[in-house]
Amino acid sequence: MVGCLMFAMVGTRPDISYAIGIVSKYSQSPKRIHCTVVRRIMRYLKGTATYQLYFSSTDGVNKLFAYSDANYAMDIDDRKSRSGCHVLFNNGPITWLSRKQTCTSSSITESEYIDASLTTKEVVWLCRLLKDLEIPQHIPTFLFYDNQAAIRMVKNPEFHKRTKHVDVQFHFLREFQSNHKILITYVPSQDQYVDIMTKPFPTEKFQRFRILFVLFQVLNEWEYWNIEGLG
Amino acid sequence: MAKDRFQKPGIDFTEAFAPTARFESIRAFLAIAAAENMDLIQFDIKTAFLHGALSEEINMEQPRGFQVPESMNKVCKLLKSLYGLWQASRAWNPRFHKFLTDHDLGVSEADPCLYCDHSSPKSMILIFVDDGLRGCTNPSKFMNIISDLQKEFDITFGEAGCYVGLRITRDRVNRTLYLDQTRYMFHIGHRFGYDHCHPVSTPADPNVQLHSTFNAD
Repeated sequence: MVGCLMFAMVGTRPDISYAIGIVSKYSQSPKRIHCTVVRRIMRYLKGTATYQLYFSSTDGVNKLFAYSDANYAMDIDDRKSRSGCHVLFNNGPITWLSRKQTCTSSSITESEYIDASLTTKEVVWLCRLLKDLEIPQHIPTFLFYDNQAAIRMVKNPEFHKRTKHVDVQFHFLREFQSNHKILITYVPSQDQYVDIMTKPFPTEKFQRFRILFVLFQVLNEWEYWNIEGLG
Repeated sequence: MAKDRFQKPGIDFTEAFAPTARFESIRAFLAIAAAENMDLIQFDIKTAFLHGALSEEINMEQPRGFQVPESMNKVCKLLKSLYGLWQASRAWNPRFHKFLTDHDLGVSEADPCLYCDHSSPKSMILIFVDDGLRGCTNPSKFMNIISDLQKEFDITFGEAGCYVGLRITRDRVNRTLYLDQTRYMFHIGHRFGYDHCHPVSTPADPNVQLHSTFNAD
């Protein structure tokens, strides 16, 4: 059942990626509470089954934008952080992921930094894909971010006693920043909609952020069946 | 159907996986198609796996009803792949790759399932084993490959509607494109018995925290 939901998530539903991420961890030995959580996702999908991802070309600038955020030590079992990222092309959602970080970080800044480097990997891959499709990205990709300290950490490559333990694998982000492939930009936390991929939210805020995932309800269920026919 | 249970790894087959397009590539493809107002066609190659050439030597019993009476103790050596062989999908991929590269389509470095033409009218093809999606800005060039495909293989094609489970709805005038899995959602809802449940507004409850040491069953 989680596998079925996962397919929906990777196909068109970034909004359930956090919920899927936390339950899939327990699919080895599920308890009753985990089943309740899965049931809740099903009930949510039931209400939003006709939601559609939207691709447009209104701006026509063929640019990539990335949003990324991390939730520090949200996993109760091993205190690892969860990172979320969302990459848009022409305002159309291309990539999203909500992933538990592989290493434990000792500060919020560190987890955000690791998260930014994960997002950079996605952006680099997409840039290559777009180059193959004859849409090379000449201007740097904007990476929106809500942690000032992590931005400072990327921009000033200084060796600091609080960051000396951060693994080398995450520092390649600095290289991309310095050769202008990526431009890290600050976005206030209340506008950082990728938050819904890293933690649960109450209804009102969730719905406000969901729209920013370019996920809309175009048809309601009744209109859908009128068009598609009862198949 | 071949008897795949008798096939041994390393001897009768080495690699069994065929590359499939990533969902990210599909979405990037569709985003570009929407922005450039491309014509989109989806095609499906019938009995695709029978076209693949085998690199390993595989023998099979003579099929029942088609035995040659004077050489009953002989076996058939397979030159092309059959459905049910482990490597059927793997063997199909290079065959199709050759066809596309012969038609001036280059394979993308980022995703081996994406082929694009580097000449001026932009054209591209995305393959998902035997399902293909074709996009092109130039209508006359658009049908060339499709008609060549028809000559080479047996294909069915039509306007892009439902590609690997993603329903594509387009508005060509406003250059917009919608992508949904509504049918799939209803399908899994039905399969797990959620036809008549009460919908909720968020997928995760902020008050529930999961950890692995629950004492309750």
